[in-house]
Amino acid sequence: MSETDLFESLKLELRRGSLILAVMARLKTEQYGYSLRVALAGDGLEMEESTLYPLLRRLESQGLLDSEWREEDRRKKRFYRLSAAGRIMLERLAAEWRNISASLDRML
Amino acid sequence: MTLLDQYLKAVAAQLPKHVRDDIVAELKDMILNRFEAKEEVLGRPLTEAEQETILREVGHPLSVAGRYHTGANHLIGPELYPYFLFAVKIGLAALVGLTLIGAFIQLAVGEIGFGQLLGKVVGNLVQGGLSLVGLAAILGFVMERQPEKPKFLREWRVRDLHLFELAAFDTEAIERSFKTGKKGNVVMGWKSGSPTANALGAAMGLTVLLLWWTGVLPIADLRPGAGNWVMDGVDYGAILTGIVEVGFWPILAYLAARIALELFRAWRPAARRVTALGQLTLALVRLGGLLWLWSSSPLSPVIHMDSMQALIDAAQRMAHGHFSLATLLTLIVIGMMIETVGNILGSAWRLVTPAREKAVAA
Repeated sequence: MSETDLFESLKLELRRGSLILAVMARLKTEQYGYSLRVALAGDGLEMEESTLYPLLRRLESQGLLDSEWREEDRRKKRFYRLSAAGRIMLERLAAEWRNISASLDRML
Repeated sequence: MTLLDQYLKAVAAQLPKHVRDDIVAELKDMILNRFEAKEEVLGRPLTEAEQETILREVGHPLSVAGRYHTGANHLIGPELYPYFLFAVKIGLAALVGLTLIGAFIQLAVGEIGFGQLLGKVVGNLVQGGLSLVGLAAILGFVMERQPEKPKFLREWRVRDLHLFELAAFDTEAIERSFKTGKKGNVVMGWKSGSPTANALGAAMGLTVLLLWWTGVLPIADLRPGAGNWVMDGVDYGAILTGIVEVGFWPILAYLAARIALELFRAWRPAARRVTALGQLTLALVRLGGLLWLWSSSPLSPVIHMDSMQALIDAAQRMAHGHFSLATLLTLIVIGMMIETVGNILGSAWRLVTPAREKAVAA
């Protein structure tokens, strides 16, 4: 494995856990799948659809998101937003993230 | 039908019915959004080739649908995989051992030449090995999909880990496994001092034996009727065929019961009396089988000795270098009967006496 490949592979591992936090943070305001992906990309976090959509369904099945089908631009779209349980979970995860980040900052 | 419809149909075919429409509708919206965004950049409608490029970026229908799968997405996961590998290693070692024993017997009775035998051994090892790995994979697949892993995988004890050293197949580990007793004294035979480890080892060995008995594992063609094993005027092939005709199902049931008992022993090492009762029952069954083998089986005319003096004379002839398979089998059957009687007495003793662990713990 070349150094670039190794870097990409480790970067992917590093990103994996943080993407959940990013998705939940973005869903404090209502979004549908495509607009969420565009918003995340705008924040510098590109995410493949094949990762994002199953993740949204999983978070919803865990009770962290609410969703509803609505018509917009003459097409039915599924809108997601954080549920009450999701908000509490996001606060806890964000605190954990800050702790990890502070620890790493001290070490790096 | 458009390319998108074709693509979505292929995805839909892989999804469970109850979520199919929902997921497909959402995917359709997402892909249409991608098409529209690209059209906006180009300022014109997309060609089919451009649409196909976007669909390829979204992913192959099999992998896209696979990401929505809620259960295990692998045959055997990383947690279970080391156990799978360990079981396969031990099973393959037992297979190699049994194959070599079978090959030795075939060579001893002069049924086959060395070159031909070597080819058969390699062929059987490959076929048997593949069957064993396949069976272990099926077992792992089923275990992976259980809501909880078996208790002996979750609640392991350090004293049970002795067995796992064997999988390293290095001389030191095997010597330690065979030689070190509970208090560090040297003992003969493999005993790890752990009931769980011993039970799991026995269960694995018996499983290989059961698979061979049922014909799932072909071992060096050592199957009844596979050869014409005549030695000293005795057709051992016909004898084995006769034994299998009568004993196939009883022996199959016995082996299955032994495996079940060993697994129970691994699962509940503290259930000393239940285990002892099971061992006593099975030892009595085994003794019955050996008595049948001695007195009225097709092997009986070959191994039966009328007097102790006849047995001593035959053993002395063997000691003086006159090899006789009949005498060897007689001694093996007598040895097994003595060992079984010892098992019966030991199991009966464990059944009526209280466990020692409490006293040791105190």
